[in-house]
Amino acid sequence: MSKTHTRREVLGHAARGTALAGLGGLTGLLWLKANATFAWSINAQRCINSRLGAVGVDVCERCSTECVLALSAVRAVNEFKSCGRCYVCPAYFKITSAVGPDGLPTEKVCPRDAIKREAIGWIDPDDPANNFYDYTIDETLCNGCGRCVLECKEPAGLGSIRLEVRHDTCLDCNRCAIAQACPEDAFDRPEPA
Amino acid sequence: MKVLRFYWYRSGSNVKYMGSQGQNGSVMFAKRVCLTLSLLWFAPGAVGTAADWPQFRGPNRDGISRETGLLRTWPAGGPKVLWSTPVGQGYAAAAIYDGKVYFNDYDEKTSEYLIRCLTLADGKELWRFSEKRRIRPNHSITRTVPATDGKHVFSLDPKAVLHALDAATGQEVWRKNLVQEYGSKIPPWYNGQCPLIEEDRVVIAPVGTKALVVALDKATGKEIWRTPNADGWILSHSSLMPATLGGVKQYMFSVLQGTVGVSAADGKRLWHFPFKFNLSVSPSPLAIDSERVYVTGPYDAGGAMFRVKKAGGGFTTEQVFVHAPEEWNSEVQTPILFENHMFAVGKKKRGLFTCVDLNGKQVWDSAGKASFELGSFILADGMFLILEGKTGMLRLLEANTTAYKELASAQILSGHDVWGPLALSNGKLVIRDLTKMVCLDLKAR
Repeated sequence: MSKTHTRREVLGHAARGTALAGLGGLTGLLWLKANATFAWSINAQRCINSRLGAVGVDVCERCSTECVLALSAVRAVNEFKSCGRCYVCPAYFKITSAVGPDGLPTEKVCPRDAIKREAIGWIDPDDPANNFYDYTIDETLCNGCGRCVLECKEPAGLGSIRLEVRHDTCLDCNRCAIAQACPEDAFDRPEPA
Repeated sequence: MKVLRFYWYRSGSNVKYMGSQGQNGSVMFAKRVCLTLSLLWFAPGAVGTAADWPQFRGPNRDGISRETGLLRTWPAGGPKVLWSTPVGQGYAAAAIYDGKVYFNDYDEKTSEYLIRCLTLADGKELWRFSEKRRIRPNHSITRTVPATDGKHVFSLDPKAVLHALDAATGQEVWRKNLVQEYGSKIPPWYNGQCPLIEEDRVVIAPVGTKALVVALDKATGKEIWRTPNADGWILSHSSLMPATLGGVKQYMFSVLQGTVGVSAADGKRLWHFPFKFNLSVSPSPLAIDSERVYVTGPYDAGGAMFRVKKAGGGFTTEQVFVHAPEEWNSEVQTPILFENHMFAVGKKKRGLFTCVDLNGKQVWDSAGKASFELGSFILADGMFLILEGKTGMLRLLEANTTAYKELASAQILSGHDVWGPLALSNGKLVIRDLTKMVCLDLKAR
């Protein structure tokens, strides 16, 4: 024989259930906040080197100059799926430098020669200017100066290179020297939402 | 073409003429002559009639259509779409002549380079030239506009082969491989040069080890003259632009080391304005008047106005002003000259359509209204038609030198990289994005 519930009882159960679920959620959030690691990161939409619309600006190198480590914990990272794999990459070649007899600029952007350029896929020997090239950043050399990031930005580039903090080397300082110096407030340690 | 059509009417006695009721034959004859002459574009060097768009940047290669009677407002949803056809990825736009649309294309499934001919009225394909070619996308594949006089179609393909086709059938009449014949290097992102046709010749700039510029007989491909490439320059993406400077008809184009002018009569190099372009130069030189020329380019090149003067037996150049990269430039498209102002999509602030006076000062831009990225534009009937490069939005602006004034807009195409030039003929606008070519009816009823 089933027990019938009054309308008052049903509403009461529902209210208690809702309150319990809310309490559980709040407890979980507090636990997360208490135990989460707040890592430093770079907001690409704020960083002047990568922010769209900031054209004709000088490169900001504070990520490489301000870090307390001898070699900054910041690295340039090339997202290959967005890279055009161009013959003449404006983030690799200094496109304003003199052109050599092969039609390529004679100077490179990276002062530490940290970007490696290699032809990939089908190579047409009669058409070298339209072979595809991988641009791989050697993280043992990169110091996160951001010059390649600035040059990769639209409209000249496709914006595939950005700066990232390498957490295996970052000391996670409470008062990060880069964050203190960043003029765009792009070096941030956001709390979980 | 102009001469031929006029001759047709003068030799009207050989043609059965049917005058309309109430008008005698001589009146109708005079009317038809006047109509024909008004349709024929009268500027020197023009190709085709005012209603044709036979080459890159139209009959006068200035990006300006002389058509009138176009819609100044558009219905909701935009102008009527007359037809649409799928195309391979690229920016190769249409040349239109006598009701036929010619354009370059590529079929990635079959690895075939194509030159296609459609009817302007309904987009029906009349013929297609195809050739097996392995061309992989490198920021798309096709990017040039053919040139046609109605008898031949000339197409310079991505790997720098010039094809001359019979315009009626699509059969190849002759070809020139610029790499093999002139020692050209295929530029990064493939060839971007659009052939130029003049009365009896097609003119191209191989910029190879064996030739800087060549003029070829339209019918046979036989060389008429060639300009040696004494400085060993290499091919970029600029197209030849005809101009009369210092009273001498010449062809201008840009290489990475600046802009050069050669005599139209014999190909003699007349002058060189040194200017440092970086990586590539896509916009073509813009003749302002009988002396001044404006050049601009991408990758922090900026721009420059210079003067070409005839001095003694030769020519000299002198800089008038320079646009620093942070001031203004055009990345891809050649500016349009209108009422002593230049109009183009500038790089600064990412793609603002900008009006610049002839002293290089900005008058207005589209800030806060629209951003066009690297989109293309033409001027017609006192209005600019501009495509947003990122979205494919087509915008109609009033052409004026005082302020940005938008008249209409329509989302006909879709982004990204909607950079192909526009072509207008008989009130029909042919535009494209990376996947389709569309014809719109812009004629006011």
